[in-house]
Amino acid sequence: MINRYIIPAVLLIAAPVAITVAAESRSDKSVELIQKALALLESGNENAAQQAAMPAANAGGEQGARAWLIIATARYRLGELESAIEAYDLCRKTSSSKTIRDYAFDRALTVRKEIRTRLKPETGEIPQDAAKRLAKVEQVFHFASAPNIFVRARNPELARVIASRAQILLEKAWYGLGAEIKYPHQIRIFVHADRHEYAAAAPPSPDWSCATARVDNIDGKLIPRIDLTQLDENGQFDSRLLDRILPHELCHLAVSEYFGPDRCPLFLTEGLAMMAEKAGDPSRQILAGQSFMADDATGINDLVSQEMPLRKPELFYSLSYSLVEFLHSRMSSAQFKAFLNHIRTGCPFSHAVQRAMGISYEEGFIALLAETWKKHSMQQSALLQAVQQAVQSAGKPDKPDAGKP
Amino acid sequence: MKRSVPAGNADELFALALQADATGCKSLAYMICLQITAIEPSHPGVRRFLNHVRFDSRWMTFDEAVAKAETLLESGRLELLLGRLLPELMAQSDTTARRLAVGNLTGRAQIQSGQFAAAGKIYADMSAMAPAPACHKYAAMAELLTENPDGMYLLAEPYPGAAAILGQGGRHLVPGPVSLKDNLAMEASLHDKAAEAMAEAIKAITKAARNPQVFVAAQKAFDKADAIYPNISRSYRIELAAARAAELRGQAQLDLKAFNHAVEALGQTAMDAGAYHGMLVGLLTALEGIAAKLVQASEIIKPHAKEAGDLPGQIARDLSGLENIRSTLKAELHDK
Repeated sequence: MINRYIIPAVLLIAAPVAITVAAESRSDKSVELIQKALALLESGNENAAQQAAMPAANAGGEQGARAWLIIATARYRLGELESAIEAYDLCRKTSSSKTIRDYAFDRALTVRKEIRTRLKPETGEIPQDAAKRLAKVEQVFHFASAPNIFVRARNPELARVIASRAQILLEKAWYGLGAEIKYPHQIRIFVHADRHEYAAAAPPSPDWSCATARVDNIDGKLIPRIDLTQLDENGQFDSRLLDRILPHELCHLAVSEYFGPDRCPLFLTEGLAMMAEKAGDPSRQILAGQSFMADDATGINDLVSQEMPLRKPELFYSLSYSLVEFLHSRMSSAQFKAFLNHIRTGCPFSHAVQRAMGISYEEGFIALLAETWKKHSMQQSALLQAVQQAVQSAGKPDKPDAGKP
Repeated sequence: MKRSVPAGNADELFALALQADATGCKSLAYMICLQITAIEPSHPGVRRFLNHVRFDSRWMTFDEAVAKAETLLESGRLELLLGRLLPELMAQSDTTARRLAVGNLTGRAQIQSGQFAAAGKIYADMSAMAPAPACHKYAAMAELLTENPDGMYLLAEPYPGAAAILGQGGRHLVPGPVSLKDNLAMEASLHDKAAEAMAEAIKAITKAARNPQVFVAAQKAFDKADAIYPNISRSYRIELAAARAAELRGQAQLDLKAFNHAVEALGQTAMDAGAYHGMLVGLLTALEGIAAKLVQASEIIKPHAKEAGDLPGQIARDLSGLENIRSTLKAELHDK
């Protein structure tokens, strides 16, 4: 009779132990697979890393989500962007960790943007027929608006194009700075037919100026305003208007609002505005690099502390663009926003860069940064000059590079 | 006087050694035990007393065994290390420092062999054992390993940051999943933990300038962060010190204004000698209070004097000015 109960009793005792042992064994196996996949990923064997991680991914659960993250990274590094997005999405859907979910979401978003950019490269050129239409100047004013934009122009199509484009460019600049709230004003954009009309309406500005941005204080209310010129000196539609001048001026207003008046250093204000231009001007980078080669460049400490470009303004603007572009190219989006935020809260430049990059502060860092920037600038300048010469000798008209937006 | 070791069997000699140790003659006890090892090399009591560890048929000192353990770890001979040497070392660890050293080796070996959860427990035990600030690093490692029991860490930014921006040679990690077996990845993850540890203190810097308790709490948070990742808080410490020193200087200047009003009032009210004396003493006391704030400000900013601009100089000039006033008041007090 006792024997009848022995086996069930043994099973009852052994079962939980067996289950625990089995669970631990599965977990150990999963850890092994994850580690194997990570080692392959680190050594550049992305295909093998995917294969190693797949059994863990298929097992599901949190481990599965983490394995999908490895697979997504491997696919991204292989250039398989669409399937990388699929893997990031699977990771996000199966993970219970907010950190992992947020990361996977951001990555999928970034990769989607990358795909869109690759499909539609920005040339900065306006088709001839469009340029002809946009050059028409009517006697009456036309108006168009977007949530933060109000446009007045003598061409209805131009007014509409500027309104919609300005809204997109403003949001890109504003959120690109790291702002977390909506831009709080409505910007009034006045498009003047030509230089004479512009000079009469806009504040005193140099002869070469054809656009300004400012903030008017009308009865205690801040009204941001941009004045633009529709036609160039030849009476043609100014092809720089939509892709260079408009984003440049909008960026000035976004920076002014984000930093507050007089709190953004001049090199940064101008550098950011020039970076906002879709079709960049390579002559700035060429001039910056040449000044380094000729030992004529302003030192980094002087550049970041200058409030007015007293000496050689053209060189100041070129160096400003070069430095901001260099920092932007070496930092992630989050780091660059952190850098801007540190500057905004009054942090000195050297501290702001090191804080944003997570570097323990060292006084000697700024000298190393200046040296690295100098090398970068000279290399870029040499490359751009070589490209320009090659284009010229091929007999084609010189076009500005797409550059960084 | 040179003492000679008496002859006798090992156990008797060992008993003598223990007696010597108990009476405070530690070096004699040690010498006797060393002598015993020549007679009976494997006497377990003697070897335990000497903190010797047996490994690979050889007896070695504790420090030699630790060095051997490092070599085994570097060469990846983890089974040998975890299965034989480290348990021996742990058995011989008679001080907290030794237990921590062996614990750290064990944790590192377990990480290398993929036993991340077990390593997490080791570091949790170590954080309870270790004094501050070392305990913070162990606690951070325990947290990391508990949060990532598969040893995979998600790196959000390139590491190290200097390599990314300065284009320096040497290894660096790109964002994405990395293995905590990789020492650089572990370093990067500790960097993130340290940043987390000081996040609240950074937000509170402005408040800390005005509030001494918040200031002390912020400094402690920075100490914790630096224990996890050396020097990570330096830029923020400089800002905190400058803000607090400036606040104290501002308070001293306000107090000095009130002091000056009181001095002006002195000559306008008639008072007897006793009252005048009392007034002077009161003014001197007030001056001491103002000076104390400036001295405190000076002490706070001193470690960061190079980065603090002219603030240390301004405080020094303020103190010098106060000294002149104090001399005048003291002279007046002495005359009266």
